[in-house]
Amino acid sequence: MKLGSFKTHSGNMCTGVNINGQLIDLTAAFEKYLFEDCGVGRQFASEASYKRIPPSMLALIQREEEGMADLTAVYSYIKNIMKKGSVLFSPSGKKLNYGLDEIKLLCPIPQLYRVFNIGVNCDAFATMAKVTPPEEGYTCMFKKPTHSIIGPEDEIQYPITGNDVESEIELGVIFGKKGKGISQDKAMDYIFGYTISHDIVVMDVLSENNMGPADMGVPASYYITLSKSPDTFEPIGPFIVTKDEIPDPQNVDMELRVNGEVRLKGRTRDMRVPIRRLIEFNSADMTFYPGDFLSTGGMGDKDWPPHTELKPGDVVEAEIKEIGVLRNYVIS
Amino acid sequence: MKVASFKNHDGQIRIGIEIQGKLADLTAGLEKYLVEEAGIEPQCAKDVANEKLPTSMFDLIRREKEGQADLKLAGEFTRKLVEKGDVVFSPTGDKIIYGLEEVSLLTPVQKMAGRVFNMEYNYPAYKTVYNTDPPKDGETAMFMMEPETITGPEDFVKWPTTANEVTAAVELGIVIGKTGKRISQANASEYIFGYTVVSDFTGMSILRGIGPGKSAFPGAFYFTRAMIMDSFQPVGPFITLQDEIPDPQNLGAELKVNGHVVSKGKTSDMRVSVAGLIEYLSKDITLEAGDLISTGAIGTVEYPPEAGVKIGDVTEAMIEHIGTLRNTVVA
Repeated sequence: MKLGSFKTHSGNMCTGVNINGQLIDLTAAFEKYLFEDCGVGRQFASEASYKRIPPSMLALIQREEEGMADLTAVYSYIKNIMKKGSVLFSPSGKKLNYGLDEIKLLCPIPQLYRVFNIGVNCDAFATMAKVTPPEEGYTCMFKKPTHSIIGPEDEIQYPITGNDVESEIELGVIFGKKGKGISQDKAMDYIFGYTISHDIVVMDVLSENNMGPADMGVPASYYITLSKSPDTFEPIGPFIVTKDEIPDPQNVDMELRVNGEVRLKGRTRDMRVPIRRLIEFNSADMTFYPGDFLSTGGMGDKDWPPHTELKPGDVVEAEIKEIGVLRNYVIS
Repeated sequence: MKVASFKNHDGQIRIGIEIQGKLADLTAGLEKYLVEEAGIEPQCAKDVANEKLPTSMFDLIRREKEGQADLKLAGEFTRKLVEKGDVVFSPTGDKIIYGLEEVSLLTPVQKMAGRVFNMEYNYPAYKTVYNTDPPKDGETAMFMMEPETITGPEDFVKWPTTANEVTAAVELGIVIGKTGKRISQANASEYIFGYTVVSDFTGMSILRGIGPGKSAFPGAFYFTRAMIMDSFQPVGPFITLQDEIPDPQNLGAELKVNGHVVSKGKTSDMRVSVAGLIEYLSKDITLEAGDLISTGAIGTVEYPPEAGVKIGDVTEAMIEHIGTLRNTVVA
């Protein structure tokens, strides 16, 4: 399933699924499913649909296994009744399917507030930045504030704290289950799905503070969070692909284009610390919750260093074939 | 005015104001005010009071200026009730005045929006005590925590599995009361709701190898990891509103472990002041009403800013005009 959150022209927020380029309002679809397929009364179907497939993606993911069971049921129902060119309505009259031009896609979890980012997770990164990488099996983790999160087609605001702004492209993991002290062999059970993210950084905030081979270290490391935290510096989207559709997340290719030109290429098999170990390492003393977002670190190799510069006016497109294209615009 | 979140006999979470060692339920107080001073019918007064003084501190702070005005109104009225000394109930029968021993105090910043900014290395003693390079003048280190990292007064701090050396610290917390960006130092005080006590725990052994320059790595990668562990940031019990602390750069603070003073200092030693931090952070980051900025571990060379703790220890973080935050380290 390719899940997304969207807003209709009349301003309603919806949890949706993408079927052949159409966005389905899943709450409305679930209402129809309950009424027509499960024999539930009209009024009750409408009320139950809001509880079981809430229009908040975070609330839906927080329903863990039960939410996933409802999702799976409504998805197979709607796939069967969708016909080309038809417009469907729920028993209470809500429109079910929208063309992409009829809606605005949002960050797939608009209510997201727990964002964890991984740094220095490929060898090319350590080589480029000339830093001593973390020990084997260890990673650098930092957090971003909520205002840094934006969705597809949103604008990236150029900061005032520097004039060397660089971007990375990363595979984002969405948690589907609460856990702490999660072992590597159980880690994949905690994943809900995957998405695309950029981790944007004001390089000057790092480099002006001795980010370089000679004096590298403290205090540059003091500024890792600050340099990555400006408003709009974490675009996420456009969809969450449920984990069943990406059976091997360590074999995913990604590409970042600026104004149509390929600037970065990466493969998740180059991760220094693979996803299952990232979950084990970071959950040792910290609880993960359903809906948490973990961005797994910028990828690259010796031909494609994992950073590229962005300037006002640039159009940035991050693509992972299995997920989609996340497009954003840099503005001054 | 000192405000706190507390749980009453019925297990409800309420907002209280501390008056002469007692705690008054502000929502119930406002209800009584509305009936007696504004002539509103009791049930309606209760509904209005619940809306104006929501029982979630975060929702109240999010009401920004209007919420603060309602808070002051209810605060002044309930202060008079406490001074009269009768045990009083609101017109619909909610208890207004509690002894502090009758309630459990909660962290006043519970369920905030996930925005907890922790400053590090904001006192000059760090350079001597820990032999590390300071941030540049006017700048400081910043890491972000989660609302889930935060615990309340009297809560347990859980000993981690990933560190065998843990330290505690006392820090002045700023609670933001108004949303803004690119805030100048001169205007910073407009954006402050009040101040609270933060006890910041760190898994120090995770930062192994931290020294000046290059020798800091790879330990320096793990700053967030060392601090974001569940329960590692007790906050509370009170928020003292800004008008009672006209000069936040003149507060004495100390940290006791099992009754012995281990860290001690004054906020006048801050490298970057409260107003300076608000300007520094808000250049490219929007600060939101309800955000917590913890301004860095307080200490001197003689009483260093970080003190080692072990399982079973009781920590008491105290800041003048705000209060004492007590926690126990457990296995």
